[in-house]
Amino acid sequence: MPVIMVTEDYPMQARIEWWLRRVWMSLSVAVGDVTDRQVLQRRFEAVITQHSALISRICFSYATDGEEYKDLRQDVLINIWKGIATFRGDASSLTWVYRVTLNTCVSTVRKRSSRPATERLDTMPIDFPEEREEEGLRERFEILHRLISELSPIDKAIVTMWLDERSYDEIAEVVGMSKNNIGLRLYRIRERWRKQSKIS
Amino acid sequence: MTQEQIRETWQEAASRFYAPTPDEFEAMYRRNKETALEQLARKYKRFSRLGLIMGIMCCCYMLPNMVFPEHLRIWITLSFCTYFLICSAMDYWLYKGVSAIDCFTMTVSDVAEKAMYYKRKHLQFIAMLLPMAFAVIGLIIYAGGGNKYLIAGVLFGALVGGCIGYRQYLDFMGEYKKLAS
Repeated sequence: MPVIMVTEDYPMQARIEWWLRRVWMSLSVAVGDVTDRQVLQRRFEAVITQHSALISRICFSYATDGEEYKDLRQDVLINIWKGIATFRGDASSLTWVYRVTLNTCVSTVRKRSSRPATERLDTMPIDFPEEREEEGLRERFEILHRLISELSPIDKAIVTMWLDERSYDEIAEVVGMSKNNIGLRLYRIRERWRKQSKIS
Repeated sequence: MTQEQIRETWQEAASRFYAPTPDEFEAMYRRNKETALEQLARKYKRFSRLGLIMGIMCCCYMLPNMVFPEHLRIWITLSFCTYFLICSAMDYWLYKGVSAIDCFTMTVSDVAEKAMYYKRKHLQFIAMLLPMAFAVIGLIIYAGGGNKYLIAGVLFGALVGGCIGYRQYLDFMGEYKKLAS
């Protein structure tokens, strides 16, 4: 299977690139070069390529094992594909992708796996290069997954956006809570993590 | 693991997942796939229709059935009909509710609240319908009187259905406890 590594940066350059792509597609349609469906496909692929890492990490946070991860990611891709035609770009594509991905993960309540976290992580399609194994990458991933999986679905949404260094305004917009509430929840989560790290 | 390490690991995770391949994109364009939520809504819709059909069929089959005593026939028909129509109405209500969840415009807290609400209602409906099912089966056995073939058929059906239902019930109750907490 070909591996495409995607870096996750959302600077101004990425936004300009996004808009240039849309202008290019509009021009292509105008001159009859491509059909509407092809435009949608290109727009969809551009969104997915740009936000692939974000989608994967959120699905990773909500999934209990590799099978559930694949199902969740598949559902997210289907939803984005279905919504891409109605997405007008009023909100930034990043906020929209966050909303669709988190809502898809939150609305899919499945049976929980009883297998231990380490075994579950083994089934996730994560690339662990051998040279990084020495740095305890796998162990850190396991701890991260365990810490996040103990949270409620809404807290997971807040934490994933916070870990992505999104502002409280952005988190509040997507989650639908006041900034104070977001801050309070994050404080409680961090305190909980701090206590857990002291105990361990 | 400190919070800084948690954040670093999270950032590290960005490059550790496989991106969708062109084949995956192609497969998605070719087939009209459904999400788990859409499948669930479709399931509720199907069961709602099935309940309605079963309710009508019970009326057509049980009312003129000579197996049951005449004074009980109307009650058996009514109880079966009511049971299936209640099932149908509940499933239709769940279908409407689940279909209203909009992942594109609603906020995450709204979606989570609705998803949990309908999940909880689903489990409560099961808890409500289960004793009703036993009552209906009991009524048939009572009405069957000495007809051993009818009783054997009902008991066998109830046993098989009960085994499947019990397994499902345990799963549902396990999930319900989690939701309630």
